[in-house]
Amino acid sequence: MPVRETNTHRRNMPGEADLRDELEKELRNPKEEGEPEIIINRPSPGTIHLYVIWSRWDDLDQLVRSRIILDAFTAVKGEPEAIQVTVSMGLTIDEAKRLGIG
Amino acid sequence: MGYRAVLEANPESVQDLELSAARRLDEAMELFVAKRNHAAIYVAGLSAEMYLKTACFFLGGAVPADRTDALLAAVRPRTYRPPFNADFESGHGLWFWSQELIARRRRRGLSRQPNRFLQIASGLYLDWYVAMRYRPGMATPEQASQFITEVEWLANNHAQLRR
Repeated sequence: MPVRETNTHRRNMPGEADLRDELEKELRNPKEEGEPEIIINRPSPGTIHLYVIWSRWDDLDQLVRSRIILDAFTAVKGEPEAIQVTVSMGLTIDEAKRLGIG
Repeated sequence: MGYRAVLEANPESVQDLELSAARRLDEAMELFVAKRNHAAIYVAGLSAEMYLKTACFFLGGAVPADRTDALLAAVRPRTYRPPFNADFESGHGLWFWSQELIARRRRRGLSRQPNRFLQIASGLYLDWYVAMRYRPGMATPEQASQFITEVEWLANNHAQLRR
């Protein structure tokens, strides 16, 4: 049987870097209003839940959205804080409403 | 589209469990306040199951968006021989997940789990099993209150358990 090797490296989606950069910027200098809306919730000591409500998530699946949020958060807040993140959800405005977030 | 199809449109992830654990615990408290003691224990037990599972998954290196199906497949009895005796209970065994958590901490060379953990885990195991939903229920307010307090402990100490 032939041996096949698969690429296990993550494959970045087109536009992923732009979204991450924009999120990083927002985390460093939050705007007074408008999108993205970033919610940082600390439900218990040492645990962080991150929600980013943003129309620009529309065509991306949850795995990619989550990765972008976690990458941006790690870049801005550092690894020790990032390992406290157990939820990093990217939601469109409609999805956030349905989930009761925001 | 049926509600099931809506839910199943996205694969279940670790962060779904994490968020659901908190929501089920809130709902258990509402049931307790409404004097639905058996239902309160049942729903709080689901929360406990999810807190234990997510702690195990994070100890295994999972990230929030990881799918749970693959993570669960790795611990099914057919593929996994745990270093302890505990019934998997089709993935719902609270004793199984608490022992798995201890085993994963040991494997990663982490410090011992918090002292109260075993006491909490055995209390939860003695009071809850997933098939209790088929019983009409006769739990007292004291039993429900005690159980919910134990699950709250898991929620409040989740960070300590998973690293």
